[in-house]
Amino acid sequence: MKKVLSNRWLQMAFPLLLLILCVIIFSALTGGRFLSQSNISAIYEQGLIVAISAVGIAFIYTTGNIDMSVGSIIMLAGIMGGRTWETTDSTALMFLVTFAAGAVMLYLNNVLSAVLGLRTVMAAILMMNIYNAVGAELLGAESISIYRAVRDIGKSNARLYIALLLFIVCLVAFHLTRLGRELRFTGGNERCAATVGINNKKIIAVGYLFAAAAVGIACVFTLIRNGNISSVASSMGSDLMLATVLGGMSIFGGHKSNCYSGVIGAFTVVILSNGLLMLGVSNTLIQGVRGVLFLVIVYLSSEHPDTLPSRNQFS
Amino acid sequence: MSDSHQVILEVHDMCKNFGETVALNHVDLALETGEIRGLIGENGSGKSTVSSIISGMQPATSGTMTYKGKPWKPATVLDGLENGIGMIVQEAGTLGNITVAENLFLGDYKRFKRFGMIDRKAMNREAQKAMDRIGLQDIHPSWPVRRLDMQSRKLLELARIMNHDPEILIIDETTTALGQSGREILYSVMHRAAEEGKTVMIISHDLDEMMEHCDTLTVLRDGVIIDNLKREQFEPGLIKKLMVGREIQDNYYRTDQDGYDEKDVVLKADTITTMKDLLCFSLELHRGEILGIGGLSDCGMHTLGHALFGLEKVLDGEVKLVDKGITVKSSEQAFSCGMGYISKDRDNESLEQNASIRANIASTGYKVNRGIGCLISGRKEDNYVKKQIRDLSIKCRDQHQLVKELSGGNKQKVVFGKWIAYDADILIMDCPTRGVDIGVKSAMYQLIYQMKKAGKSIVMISEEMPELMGMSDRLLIMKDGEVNGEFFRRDGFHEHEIIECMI
Repeated sequence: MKKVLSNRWLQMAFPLLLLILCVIIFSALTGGRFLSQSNISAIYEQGLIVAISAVGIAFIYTTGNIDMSVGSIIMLAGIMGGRTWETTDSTALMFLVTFAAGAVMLYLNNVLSAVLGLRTVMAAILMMNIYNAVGAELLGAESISIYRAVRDIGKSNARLYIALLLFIVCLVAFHLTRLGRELRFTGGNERCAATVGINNKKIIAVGYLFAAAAVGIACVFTLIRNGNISSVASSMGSDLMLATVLGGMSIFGGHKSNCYSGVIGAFTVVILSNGLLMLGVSNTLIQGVRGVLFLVIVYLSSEHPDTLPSRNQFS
Repeated sequence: MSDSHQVILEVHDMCKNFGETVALNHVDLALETGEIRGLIGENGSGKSTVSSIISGMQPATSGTMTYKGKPWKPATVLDGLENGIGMIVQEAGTLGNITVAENLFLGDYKRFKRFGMIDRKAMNREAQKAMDRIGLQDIHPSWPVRRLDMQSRKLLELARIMNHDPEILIIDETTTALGQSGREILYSVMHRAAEEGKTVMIISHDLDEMMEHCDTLTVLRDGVIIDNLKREQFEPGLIKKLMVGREIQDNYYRTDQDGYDEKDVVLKADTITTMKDLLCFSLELHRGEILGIGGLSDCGMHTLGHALFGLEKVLDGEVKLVDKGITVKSSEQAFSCGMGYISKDRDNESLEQNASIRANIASTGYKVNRGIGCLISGRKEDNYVKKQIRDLSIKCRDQHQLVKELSGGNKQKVVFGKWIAYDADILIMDCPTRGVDIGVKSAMYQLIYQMKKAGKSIVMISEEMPELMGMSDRLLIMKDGEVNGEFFRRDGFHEHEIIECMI
């Protein structure tokens, strides 16, 4: 079993096999409804948002940091954009404010972490609560309909082209420049990274910049997809963690990290949620299924020592 | 001596494979009561593998063991320890964020439970007794272990194992983490155990140490036992030949009197003070000089290495790169100015263990391996790494093999490889040959000498006196964070004078 799990080719093919398996199972169980054009379109719309965020957030996960605040950021950035549109009636300004708010809020987590000397995950949880509170204060139980503003944009292919461009930029930066290598070194062993001239704080900050840009775009795409804004934060934070592990990357960072795993994982997460909903599974139970799946994948992808223990296990 | 020379443990036809790598090849071994057995061999010869199988750390691929006349197949290290086989490994085996006492009784807190709560006073009292038993002083049981240096941590592991009163004590390359005082404690524990009829098995690359303390030496090479030598057969030349399969010259240190330009200072520490160890410390390093730094392990020399490379904050004074006119304030700056650093703590500071050999060596070459614009050229990076693997004869499957899978000596070669590839002008080496066999040591000394010849400047911090005397142009002996003596190669080094300065 261990030998099979550690097979390099299987590890690479596993995310794709899982995605295909999900499609086959849900197609069979829903009598083909799962493959209807409207459902495929819904999966594409949501998958695209999760995929964009996952590509960016990989720049944070690689350094061994975790940020779960993306759901709240998307919600609050959307509200800010919506209020801007209500005031100015300018769609362009709405997108600009949404993008900037999303990117700044994510980057703020890093600033807070650096200033207060907190682990990023703690800073993100702290800020997540603040974002939720501000969102509730700004909008309460109301909602803002922006359907009129985004109706035509939603029909164009612009989002696909933007997503592809972002993906290519991230892929090049991560895998073909020193940035990705330095991010991985920082995630794997900060002390060793420091001895080869890597400024760990700086490199984490650069990683956050990429993530901030991707999350900013995801905020805008969410507006276009929903056409409606409320103060309920999505489960995007946990979606991203699940997408990352389903895509075959460790959320603990280090040298096995990459920036493309989350793309396949993103569609698997969306297909899983969508398929289970079509089968009549309650939303609460879906969260449970996702939780169990997350634990299983993390367990299977974790390293269990079978040889001499390394120093890292003890220090 | 009671029950001396009764066979207590036998290993029959043992094999161990890691994938395609054969670590042990049909090994037979018999340990007797009351003996101190030394296992000696090159890095990767199978010493740690056989001892880890005996202690229960990992299973054998095939073969059997008999312990006290019964079949022996321990499931875990704890299983081994509960049955009287305790092992101290070469890696760190303590937890930094809990106290000394909690480390000593890890997994055995139940005995201190009173009304559902742990009686810490009783635990600390017992911990103190355990430390007293081996002669470990000046450590309070309530201190967090992260406050201790490497030597104290290692001795703490020894106290933990000895608290179980093991029938067989296995010591795997522990002495490299110990200074002279720590070694004395370890040796006394070993000899006392042997006198009480217990068995001690020690693994070390220090031939003098092995010849002085062992009754029998078992020589391993490529997973095969080559010979078992009794004390009267001990002869350095023979042992080295058996270990590496060829003649090794007795003196592998440099024999030249090549000097250096005493006016050409490249690095200067000007009355530096750090949070720990150093107070108004000064030194000058010259171009083409090998500057040895010696002393007892707690004299501050390891902190000095950190401070020179910008890894330890300098509170007052400055570390200056003289010809560049730059004050070193961070490791990032030191690196970008052509400095390199080899840490004593190889696994934590010099290597990313979960990364490949390629990733580790290439980590110093991101700038030179660029192709178009800021894009890294895979071909250049490939050559950068392969050259070091080839030149340093790093034993590996390929450049993508993970560093954690390599033996200690090959790991150290990877560390050397990344700095040789970087072509560092100033290299700070803290215990550069720690835990490597004589074959690799010899190669590393040649490399260090070649670097000197090429005009590189080297600070060599070491706890091994022969190494310092054999390689240094100038030798600074530290005591309590200060320079207590300066010796020059041209005048000849006299060991007794140097040791006098240390103590």
